[in-house]
Amino acid sequence: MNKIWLVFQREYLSRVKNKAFWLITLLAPIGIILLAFLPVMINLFTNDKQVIAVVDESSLFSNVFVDGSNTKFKMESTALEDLKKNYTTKGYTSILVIPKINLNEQPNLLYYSKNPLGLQLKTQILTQINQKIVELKLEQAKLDPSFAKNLQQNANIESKILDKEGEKSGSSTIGTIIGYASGLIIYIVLLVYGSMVMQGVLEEKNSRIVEILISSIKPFELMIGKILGIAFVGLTQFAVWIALTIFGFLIAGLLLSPLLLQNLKTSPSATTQISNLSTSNAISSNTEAIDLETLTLISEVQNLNFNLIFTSFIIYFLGGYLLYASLFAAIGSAVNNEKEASGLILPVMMPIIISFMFLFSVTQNPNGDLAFWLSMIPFSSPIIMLSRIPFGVPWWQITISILILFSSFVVFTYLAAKIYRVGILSYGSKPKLKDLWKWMTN
Amino acid sequence: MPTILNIDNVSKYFDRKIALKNISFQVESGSVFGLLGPNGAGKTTLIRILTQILLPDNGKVIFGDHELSMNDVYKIGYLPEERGLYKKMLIGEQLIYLARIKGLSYKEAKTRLQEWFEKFEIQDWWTKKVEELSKGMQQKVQFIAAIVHEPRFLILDEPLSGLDPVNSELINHEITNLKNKGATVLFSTHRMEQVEEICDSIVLINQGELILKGDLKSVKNRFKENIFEIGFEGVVDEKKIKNQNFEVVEKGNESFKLKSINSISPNEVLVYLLTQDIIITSFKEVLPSLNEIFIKSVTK
Repeated sequence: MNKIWLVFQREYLSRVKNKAFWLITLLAPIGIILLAFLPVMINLFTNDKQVIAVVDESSLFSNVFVDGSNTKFKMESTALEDLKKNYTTKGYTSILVIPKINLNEQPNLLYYSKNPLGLQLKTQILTQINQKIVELKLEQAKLDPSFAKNLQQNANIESKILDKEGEKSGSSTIGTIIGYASGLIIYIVLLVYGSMVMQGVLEEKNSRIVEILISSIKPFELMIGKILGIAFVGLTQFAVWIALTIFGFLIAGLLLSPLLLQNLKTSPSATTQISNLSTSNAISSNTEAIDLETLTLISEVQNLNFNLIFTSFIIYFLGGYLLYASLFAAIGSAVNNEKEASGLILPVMMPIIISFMFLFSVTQNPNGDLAFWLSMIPFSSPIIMLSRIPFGVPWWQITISILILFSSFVVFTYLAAKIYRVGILSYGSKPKLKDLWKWMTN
Repeated sequence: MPTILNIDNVSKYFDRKIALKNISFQVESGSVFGLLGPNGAGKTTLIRILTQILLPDNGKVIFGDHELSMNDVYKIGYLPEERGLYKKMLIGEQLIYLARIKGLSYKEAKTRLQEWFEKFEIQDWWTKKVEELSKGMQQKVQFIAAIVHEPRFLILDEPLSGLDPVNSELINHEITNLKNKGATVLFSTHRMEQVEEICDSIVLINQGELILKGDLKSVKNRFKENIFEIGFEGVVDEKKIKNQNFEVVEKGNESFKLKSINSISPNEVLVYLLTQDIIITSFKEVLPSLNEIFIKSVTK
């Protein structure tokens, strides 16, 4: 035990003391924050003002367009042909032509500019035009235009889980996002830390220090010490990331919130971007619709059991990592260099890659048979079970899955250690899978 | 002298290939013991059994008064032929780690290592990385790693290869020092002149089998060919000296070599020579060099 602890310390400290470790650890959250806030920042800080000349041939839309922070609409009565020639000198960036509208036909608008029409502006224009057309249609049908507000339907489904304890909220949108993200993170983590173990073993083998080490430590102790040391490197990295990400979001939130609030007041379109909900709803009061959807999302987030998600992330990271790391260690011990490892590593990587391929269909049907069985098989359970947890998984399933995962870890580590013991002292020709089998069964 | 190591009928197979076959010998406590053999003879396999990296398929190894076990690793020091250290790790930290897995506490390891660094005048290496050192320098670091826990039994596999004469002398001196302090040294090398210089006893292994063992003197005696070298003055007529018992195998201006056909004592040879008309200036029995014995034994 004492020796495993010594190996653990060396493996952990030699990595954590490394500058590259801190560089990656510190840069990653900055990257995440930048990626998350980039669209908002771009929107807030671009001075790309658009002034649009509206040529309204039916004179029905004069009060329809609402200016945004970066967009201004001006009604223009100049003939279109003249305007096309001199719109820039008049200070416009583009021309919007609304032809004479026949309410029984699909209207076809024209947009002239040096640059193609962006999706955001297009949505903004169409929403307002469509809304007006509906009002006109209602007028034609002699209905009260205020009736239009009631016409809009934003049906919503709230998912409830019925179990012995009664009913609970079950999330879907946020569940899918978090489920997919957890699965993806575990997938990356298994590959990154698995390879780290393999490289560590290869380093000891190639530098030949392994002969000195195993004259004092049992190969098994060396392997386990290394695997655990690197696991804690991973946990340290997560801890730093989580702390930094929370801190970063807080700081960014504080800095950006005054700007956001200001923007919300002046531009309804900004709301759509910030909530990341592009509503192409033709019918009015889209702000209310957004509020409803946002509220649903917020309640979904509130309903998520973050403690469970976080705890299971750590458990499945450890279980999955330990299972795969011992296999990666066995391969590292058997080969002479990383190039040789590529052939042998495929059988180990395949279950990880296959699980990742099933990840999407599992988040679509988190309680189906496929999802169930893949979250029981130890090679896929870390990725698949984690992606199911935000949707709510019965306790017995989680318990059995974790038990299977950890007992497989024990079995596979035992077998991997047998390969490792022979492998670390074998130099020369590249071993085949057949050789590994022989080492394992001897 | 008590034995520290008793190798009793040890065999080891890899697949069906025999690596060691019924090897038995003893190593006396406090001696410097030579483990000799050509490449691929099984020396490394035997050393790996002694360091418990491998287990014998048959036979047993008795260390002191008990069968060799993992508890003995603290009493054994090992310098493998294939040297290796962590290239990116600081030398000081690395040696502390290696000393601690040999059972020393952090504090003890640090104190002892600092003493060795002073002794070898390499204090400024403590914060260097291994990759900054030359091969010979790394070897010094590894030698320290092998002996820092003051092992009772030290296994040195080609300890002097790659060292310049100054550092060779330094390590040689330390091996002798360790012996004087009571440590037993198992010394594996191809360099026979080194064996003659420092070993008390040897075993010779070839193709997994033990073909020779004993103290250096008795081994040499076993291989002696009853040749005597006689220094002389004046003129010697070799035809006169030669008879049914003696023949001259080599003749120079100041000495000649005489081989007795039958095994007789040096005194008898001398008595015979005195009856001849020769002025003798020197007389000695020619014993074979270990190199000759080695080549003769493994090419038999």
